[in-house]
Amino acid sequence: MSLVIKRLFRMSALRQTLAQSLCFLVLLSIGGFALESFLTRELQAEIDRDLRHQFSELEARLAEGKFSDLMLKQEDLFLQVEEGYGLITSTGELSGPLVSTVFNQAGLRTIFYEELFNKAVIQDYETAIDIIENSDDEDLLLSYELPFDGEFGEQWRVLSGPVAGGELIVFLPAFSSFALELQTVILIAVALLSVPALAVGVFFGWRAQKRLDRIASGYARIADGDLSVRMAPKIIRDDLDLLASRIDEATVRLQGSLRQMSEFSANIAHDLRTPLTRLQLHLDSGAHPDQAFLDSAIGQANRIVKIFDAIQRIARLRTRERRAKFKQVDLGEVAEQAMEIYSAVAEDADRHLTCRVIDPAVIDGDPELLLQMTANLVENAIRHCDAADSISIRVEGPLLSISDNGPGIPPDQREKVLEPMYRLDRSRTSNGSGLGLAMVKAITDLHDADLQLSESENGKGLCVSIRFTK
Amino acid sequence: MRVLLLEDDGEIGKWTIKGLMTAGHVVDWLESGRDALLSATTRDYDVLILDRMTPEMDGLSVLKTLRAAKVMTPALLLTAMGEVEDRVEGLEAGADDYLSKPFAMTELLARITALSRRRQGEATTTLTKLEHKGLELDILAQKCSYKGEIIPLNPKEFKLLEVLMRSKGRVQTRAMLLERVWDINFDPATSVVETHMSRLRNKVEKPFDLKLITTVRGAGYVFGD
Repeated sequence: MSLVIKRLFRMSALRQTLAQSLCFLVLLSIGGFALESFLTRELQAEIDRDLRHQFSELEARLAEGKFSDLMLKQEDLFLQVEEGYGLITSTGELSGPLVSTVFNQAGLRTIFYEELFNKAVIQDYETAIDIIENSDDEDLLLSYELPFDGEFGEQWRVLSGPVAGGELIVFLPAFSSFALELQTVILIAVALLSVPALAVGVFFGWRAQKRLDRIASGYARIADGDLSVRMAPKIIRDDLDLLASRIDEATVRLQGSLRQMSEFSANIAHDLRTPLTRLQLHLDSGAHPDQAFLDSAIGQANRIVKIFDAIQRIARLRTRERRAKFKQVDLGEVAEQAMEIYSAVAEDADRHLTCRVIDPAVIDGDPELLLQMTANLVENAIRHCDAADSISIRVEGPLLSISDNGPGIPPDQREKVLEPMYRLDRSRTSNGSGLGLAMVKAITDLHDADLQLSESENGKGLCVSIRFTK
Repeated sequence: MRVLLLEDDGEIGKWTIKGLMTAGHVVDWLESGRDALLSATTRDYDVLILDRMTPEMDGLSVLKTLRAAKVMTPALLLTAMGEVEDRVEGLEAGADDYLSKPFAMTELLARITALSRRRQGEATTTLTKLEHKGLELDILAQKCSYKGEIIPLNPKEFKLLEVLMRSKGRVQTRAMLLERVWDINFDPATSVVETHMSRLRNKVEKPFDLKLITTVRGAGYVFGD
């Protein structure tokens, strides 16, 4: 049981709604009691004003010497009174329903009814109450009228003071009885409200909790390696749905890169196997090594080293450490440098290489890497184009593009060629490391540039365009 | 030349020593960084070859300490896989050259020879006119001529010829030429050096029936005899 409660209290949504409901109830109570004390004070003041008013009126009448008019008999007066007062003359003659002990103390005070009324009056009252409560005779009930509109309460407010020829006391029911009732009303209201408030709170909390629990368990499954988990509903309604959809997005990406990584390692294994096998065959048959044999063996070993070198470079680029060494680079200079390196090579390979620079942007970057990126793209174009094809390097503002009118890349494979070691079938046998474009992608990513592969202008060939941010 | 080799791998060390000795160098082979530091400060060497990852003290720290102690012996750093950051870091620490493993013996030999030359006679690098058997190179005017006849070369061809002539008689590897002529530190997949070399030869050798540049199989090119 305590475990269940502990678990309940650990649920954040439930805790929140419980706290909210309790807070609401406490505030309601505080408000209620503040209202009550304010009302009490106001009413008390009202009563006191009434008492003073009544006292001064009676005092005036007494001063006119009509003291005897005010003398009351004890028995019959009580039930008719609307304004209570009592007198005691200086000779000790008592008038009114009061006990004599109540006199001799001037001023305002609140006292209990036993201290104010004499026994006969109290008995009278109790009898009246008794009759009213226990009688079925309607006529009899109607003929009875309780004094002070039935508010014969526990506590009474009393004002006493000396007057001509004696002492006068005026009294009214004190407000405390009413205050007690108000308190009860507030308490009952709070109690009644607390049940639905808590219930509604717990219901919503429980619903949010269920959704949170589903996300938590989905996440646990993802952590266990199940990347097919999707948690977001079709329609995003609130932040919890948004959270779930964000987790879904992350999972999709994770799944993608995991797949890419496993393909990557499979491709590495494949691409390394070929030169390693050749190397092994060479060494196996190398009983009488000649120079050509050795050159070929070294060539294979170099190829393996190059593949590893490129993989390592790409991995390093992805850590983004090199951004620390960025400086201002003129894209036009990069393009011209690449042109300078490759124009002769392209010419000898019977490719037509051109370079056009229009209003080149100066960007924040790594000049060595940018040159390598451009070089990779130009080399790719030279390698994959046919004789007499043309290749152009262009820089326009922050946009660097290398386009050719060679065989191009089918649209559905353009994303894939940017992955490490991916090769189109037709270039399986060619001599590249399979990492040239992956390196380009890694370098553009490092520069936060946008890399796009498309057709060249005439709808033929490949255009690689890289847009840098200035 | 007296060469200090800091290399902790036995196999690589043995092969490197063999190669260096075959080329006529005297080699001290040390396997720990601390010993290398001690040797380099107490004895006189022409070139230091320092592996980066070595026990007790790594090659880079050895080099930094030496440079701080004003020991300016030319030094070549060896590391696994030529990462550009490593290279820059090494050069900043005071290395004069840099070679990534695995390397070819010819490459190492060509580089340490170049290094020791740099130390002995800086003179050749400050020459503004180079001449060999009638072939003249005026660096300031960027003019190339053979027995008075102007040979038109584009800037890269000119630079290539200049680098070759300045290191007359010493092998220049492909990687060294890429660094010095084109200022690039990655290995292009296409034949950038070969292409320019053949163009240069067509301009300076062919018309005059000269034999100036020799291809060294599996190593690089050498100018002169």
